[in-house]
This record gives sequence, structure tokens and C-alpha cells, in this order.
Amino acid sequence: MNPTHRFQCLKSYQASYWFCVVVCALLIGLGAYCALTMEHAGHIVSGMNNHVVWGLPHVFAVSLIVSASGALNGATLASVFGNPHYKPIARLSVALAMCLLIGGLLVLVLDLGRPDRLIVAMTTYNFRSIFAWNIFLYTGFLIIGVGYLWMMMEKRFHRHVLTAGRIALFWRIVLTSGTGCIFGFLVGRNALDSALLAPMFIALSLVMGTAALSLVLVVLAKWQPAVLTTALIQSLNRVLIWFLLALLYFSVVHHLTNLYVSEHHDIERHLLSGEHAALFWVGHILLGVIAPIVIIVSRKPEFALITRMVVSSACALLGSAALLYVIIIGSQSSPQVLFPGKTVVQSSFGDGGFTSYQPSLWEWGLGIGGVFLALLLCLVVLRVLPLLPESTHGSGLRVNGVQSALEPSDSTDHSAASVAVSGS
Amino acid sequence: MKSTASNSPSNASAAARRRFLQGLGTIGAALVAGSAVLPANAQATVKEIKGVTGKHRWGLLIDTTKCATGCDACVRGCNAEHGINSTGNPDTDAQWIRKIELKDNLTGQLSSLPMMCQHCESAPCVDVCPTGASFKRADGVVLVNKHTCIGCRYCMMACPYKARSFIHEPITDQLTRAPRGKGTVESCTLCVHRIDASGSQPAEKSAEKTVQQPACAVSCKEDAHNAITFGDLNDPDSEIVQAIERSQAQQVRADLNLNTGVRYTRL
Amino acid sequence: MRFRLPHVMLLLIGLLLMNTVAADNSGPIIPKGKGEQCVADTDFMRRNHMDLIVHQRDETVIRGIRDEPFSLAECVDCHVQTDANAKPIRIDAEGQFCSSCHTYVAAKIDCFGCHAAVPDPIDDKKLGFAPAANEAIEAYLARNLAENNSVGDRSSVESNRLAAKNPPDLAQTHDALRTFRQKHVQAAHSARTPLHRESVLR
Repeated sequence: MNPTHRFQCLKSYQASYWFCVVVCALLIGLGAYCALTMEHAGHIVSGMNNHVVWGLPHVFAVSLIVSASGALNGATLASVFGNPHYKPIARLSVALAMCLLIGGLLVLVLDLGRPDRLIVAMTTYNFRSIFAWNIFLYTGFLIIGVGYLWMMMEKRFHRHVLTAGRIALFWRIVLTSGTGCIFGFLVGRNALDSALLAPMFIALSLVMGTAALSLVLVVLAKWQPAVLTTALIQSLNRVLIWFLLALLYFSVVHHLTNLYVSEHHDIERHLLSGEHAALFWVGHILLGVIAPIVIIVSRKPEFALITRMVVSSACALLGSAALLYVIIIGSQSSPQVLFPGKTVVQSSFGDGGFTSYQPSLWEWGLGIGGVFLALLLCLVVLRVLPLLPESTHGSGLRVNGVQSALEPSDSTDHSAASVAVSGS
Repeated sequence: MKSTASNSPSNASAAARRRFLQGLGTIGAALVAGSAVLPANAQATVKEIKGVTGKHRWGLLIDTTKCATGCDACVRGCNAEHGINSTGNPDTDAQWIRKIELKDNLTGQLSSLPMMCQHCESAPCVDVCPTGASFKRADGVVLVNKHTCIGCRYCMMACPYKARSFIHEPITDQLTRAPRGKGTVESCTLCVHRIDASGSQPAEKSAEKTVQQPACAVSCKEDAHNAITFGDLNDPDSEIVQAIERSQAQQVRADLNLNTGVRYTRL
Repeated sequence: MRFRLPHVMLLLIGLLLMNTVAADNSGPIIPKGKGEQCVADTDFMRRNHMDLIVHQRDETVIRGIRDEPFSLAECVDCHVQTDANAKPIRIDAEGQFCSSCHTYVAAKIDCFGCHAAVPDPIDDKKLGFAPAANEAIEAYLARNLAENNSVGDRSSVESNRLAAKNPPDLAQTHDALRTFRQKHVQAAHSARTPLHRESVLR
């Protein structure tokens, strides 16, 4: 390990950078307002109720947390698996992962019934609860992220990068499994009662993290073209396909095993042909898995490589969020079977019936605020820490769109990367 | 031990003898514990005895053959006892106890029963609570400590019986005996304030006689249905245990092995 | 005119003085509670009421001990005020017992989001201590005051430090307590409210 890349802070004073900052800040403000409203008025202003107790904010939070652990992939591929194309973006990958995690946790915390009691959650633990363990997994992830970044940024510690990368890899697998287990061991809910959710969440995190990293890279390339090389795009596209196939595999196996167990038939019917069927089939399967794969694999010349990456990543991200929505909301809106062999004729609490859940604008605001908080954090961190590869063409002078900025510089960037790698 | 047994009246029933021996054992244990603690701090022993212990495990038996279709006396009794007022939306209102009418898929037989917190011995809600706010008291009553509940609703996700309610709106007209407020989770407390009020009675009296019945059981009795029996599941001679044995009462979702404190006859 | 440093400093000092003067004149006006004396000395209560309540709350919720003396319900019972129609006013309402001080020191009260801020209606009320509580109060105070006043495991370092400086007069507190309790129990009896009343429904 003897990286020859030089790193620098994001040095763009373009209007587009500040535009992004302002947009993020506005949306964060909106999110804060929504959170405050929900805290003040109570969850009555949300669409959540005593059937669907976890709603859209949890879909956002879990998406962000899962993306966070997946975004670490860039660094893992560089330092653990020695892939040279990822070395220039290893630092960015760690920083992005930490920012996404903070955004997700904030949404989770602000959706609590008593967010003012966060201190209780941080000081009182029930160690039988996977949720309590997750608090440690999350804070641990942040600490390990800081350590990892430090090893990468301090020349004297470069020899420890591999160790730090391995620890981070191990930790993120545990973290994602832990997140999956939050849902996986709920015996009372037929849709969730499955150990398959843990590996499925790992596949989900790989997909979402890679897609999020790709999109962030495209934006950053506007200001600092050196972050994206053709080889990197090709590699990102390639790994995304594999991750998508893995996700599809676990998704299919999950549903097939459920279909095998006859007590789960009702819930399967609900998930695959009921209220959330469109979201599952169109959102997850079509948009989230098939479309990205087809887009990446198709070699039509009219679509530039980078366009293919942007579209496929966006599709994969949305599709995976749709899958999370189906998992989280779908499992709650279907009835819990209390009396096998009997039909509920009447109940004041709607036992035996399906609940519909309509997320309110406050919930959308809170979730979106969390996403943009993560992005703003990232924009600020990149500005103050040298995490981006030094541009070979002077810093941030290209005003053109990403596409035009990238195509001509492809060859030079690529060769620069390969030269740097051959030196290591 | 043998000599004490022979000292007891020979015509005493087996149960009485068992109780007597249990009592001796308890006294012996208390003496041992007392002598161990006494030199350190005399007051500690006072503290030891105070508060709920595992001696009792409170539970309910619901006789579905007596529970009347369309009757919601238990629900009304519970709501009055705990100051639960409806806002008109059953999906967000607190429902500590609810009535369910069932039809058997095979025979078409109709039945009716109340559903509430089942006070499981191995309660999923207690396992999943990150702060330990959802807890089981020594006497088997599963409660939410609203002082440490952060309102994450994981317990509601975990409960197989949908027995918990999240408070969605600010509340201002609480009763002193039933504190409840926005942003926390709550459920049937087995009228724990009534159990505790009985707890200050002299311990020698039989628990059956002195422990106040929960509001739902009282209401049911007042409506002359008598479908809810409250009692000590740890006492083999108690009315509730006898009735459970007699009627072969079952647990709801017995497959989950939660050892519920609420049992149902003719489920 | 340009602002110079001395100007700014004078302005700041002036503001500071104004603030002190205002504070001197408008200390919290705390409504008086029922009876002669609280369950403990006023100074003691001012410093330690939160610890007493927190301790009692854990005892009650987790261990089911409801007959010890420092319950929040008793606070409300004694300190609640009534309006012109003899209707009780929420104890956390503006200017009332809890909020007058808490507003003054800008400390949030987190009790009455859940707990009743007025006593229960008289016909629905469970008033007073259990008879056994007479001894319990004594034992409780002896226990906790003797332990250098650290009631409960959550008492703050600051209040311990304060209490160590001015240890409360035990004998005095006990005397006051006894008087108070007698009055209170009498009041409960005269209101003819049974201590452990079978609850009447509907």
C-alpha cells in the first residue's frame, strides 16, 4: 500500500455548489419544521396509527442507514480488495457513509414519540433488545469511520489502512444484519418472521450504497472531474448488476419460502397482489432490479456510459426504497392472525382487516429533510477535509455539464489513474 | 422436616400440608436471609420485604362461553377506570381492551371475547424495548415505564396480540391513578394500582380475598356475565387455577410459547 | 456616530444592571400550599423535591410501592389552587405552584404531560396515606436523610454537595412531618374518603 494519489478539498466556488448548499439547507429547514410539528401536535398529524406504527419516516431512515453501510463499499473495494479504480474515492466513500448514517439516525430519532428523551436511549440499555445493540452498532460505525479516514489521511498510518478497512467491512456487515434483524425476529408478524431478512438487508445495502455513491460521484464530478474515471463508472455499473442480482435472489427466496408455509399465504397474497402489489412488482422488481440491469447491459451508443449509470442508480435507489416500503408498511397493514381457524366477524380495533396507510406531508418532509441533511453534511465535509482526488486539470474550472466535461477527459483521467496505481 | 410433617393434623388435606410446608420454607429462607443482611444494615431487610415479589403471578381467565356477544362492559369499565376517552378514531385511540367476535371456519360457531395485554411470561415487548421501559414486574404484570419510554413503538411491532396503543395526541384530563401522555406507549396494566392497594393489607390473609379485582372483571360481574376471573396463577388452590384446570383453558397463539397470564376457555 | 468599544461595554453593563434590578424585584410568587408544613423542611424540599419524586416514581412503577410519603399526587393535592368557582387550577398552569418557580429558573417540568395536574374529583378520589404509612414515613426519612440525604440513585452531585454543606435538621423535620401527617390523615377521615375504596364504576 503506497498510494500515490494526491487529495484536496472540494474547491468549487461555482454558483452550482452554492445552489446545492442552499437547496439542501431549505429542505433541511422544511424537515425541521415538519419534525417540530409532529413533536408538538403528536403523531396524530402523521398517517401512522396503532396498526401501522412505523411509517414513511422509518422507510427513509432505514434507506439512509442501509445506504450508509453500502456506501462504504468504495473504500472496502479499494483497501481490502485492492481494486485500483476505487482508491481515489476511498476517502469520499467513508465520509459519505458517515453522513448518510447521521441523516438516517436523525430521522429515526425525530420520529420518536419523545425525541426529547434521546438521552434516556443513550444511557439506559436493555441488552436483550436488538434495537439497543443497534445503537452501539451505529455509534461504532461512526467511530470506525473516523479511524478509517484517519488511517487513510495520515501518511504514517498508511500501513494500517488494510486493517482498518477489514474492521470496517466486518462492522458494516454486522450493522446491516442488525438492521435486518430489527425486522426479522418479530414472531407476531407473519410477513417479517424470517431470518432471511438479515442477508436480504445486506444485499439491499450493497445496492443502495453503490447507487447513492454513484449519484454523489456524478454530482461531484461537475466540480472536480477527477473523481470519476471511465474505469470507475464501468466498475460501479458492473458491481451494481451483481448486487441487484443478489437482492433479487433473496427477495425471490424470501417470498418462495413464505409461499411454502401455508400460514403465511394470506400475507403473501396481500403483499404480492394486494394494496402494495404495484409497489412491489413495478417499484421493486421492474424499476428497482430489471430496469437498471437492462440499462447497464444495453450497449446502445446513444446512451453515454455516465447517463446509464445515473439512470440505473436512480432506478435502483427508488426501487429498493419501494421494497423497504413494502416490507415495513406491508407487514403492518396486514392483519395479525390471533385465532387460526376462525374468522373475525367484528372488532372495534379492526382485527382481521387490512389497514390502509397514507403518509402525511409531515412525514415526507421529515424524511426528505434527513436525506438532504446527509447531503449537506457531505458537501461541507468535502469542503474542509482533503477527501477528493486532486484534479489533473486544475481545480473546479469546468463549467460545462458533467457529460461534456467527462468525455474528453476520459483518456487522461484513466491513464492518470493507472499510472498512479502502477506506482503502488 | 419429617417430624414437622407428622406434627400436623393427620386429617389435613394434602394441599394444606403443602401450604404449611411452603410456609415453613419461606420462614426459614427469610430467617437465613435476615441473619445474613441484619449485621450490615437492619433497614435493608425492611426494604427487601416491601414491594412486589414473585410470590404471586397475577392473571385472568376469560370464559368465552359466558362472554356475551355485543357486550362491551369490560371495555367501558376499563376506559372509566383509566380515564380513556375516545376521540372517535379507533385506529389512533388507546384500546387497552377490545372486544372481538369470532366465527369458527369449520362449524360456524360464533364466539365473543375480550383481547388485551396477555401479560406473557416471556414477553416479546419486554425483549425488544431498547431502554427497558417495557418491563415485567416481579408479580408477572407487564407494564410500560412511561418515564423511560422514548416512544419508538418497537414493542408494538413485536406484540403478537396488537395489545399496545401509542398516544397520538396530547392528553389533559388524566386521572391520578392512571398517568398517560402523548408520545408514549401503553397497554393493560391489569389494574396494577388496585393490586398494589391490596398489597398493604396484612400478608397472612389469603390473596384471593383481599386483592381488588381489575375494573374489567368488576364490570363484567356487574353486568351479571362473570366471564372474567382474576387471581394468582402461582397458587394451585386459587379459583383461577382450579378453573383453568377444569376447563382446559388455552392461550391465544399458544404456538409462540409465551406462557401468557391471560387464558381463555373454549377458544 | 461610530460605536467604539467603551460604548459597547457601557451598553452591555447597563443591560446587565437592568436585568439584575428586574430580577430582584420579581422573584417567583409561589402560592401557599395547604397546612403548615410540607412533608419536609421547605429548604430541603426546594433543593431535593425532584430527587424525592424520582425516587418515589421508580419505587412505585417498578416495585409497586404506593404508600410511601413522597408521591406526586400528594404534591398536587396540597399545592393545587382553586379558581373563583372552587374549581381546581392545573398546578402547572401559569403562576401556579410548580410553574411559578420553574418558569423563573427556566426548568422544564416533565411531570404533567402524563400525570394529573389537578386532584381527582372528590367522589373519585383515593385520599391520604395508608395507616401503615405513619411508620413508613419515619423509616423512610430516617433511612434517606441519614444516608447524607442522597435519596435515590439519581440525586445529582450538586444537590448532594449542597446538602452536605447544610444538613437538614432531622428532629425538626420529623416534628413538622408528624404534625403534618396527623392533619392530613384527619382531613382524609373528615372527608370520609376510605383509604382503599372499592372503586365504583359508572
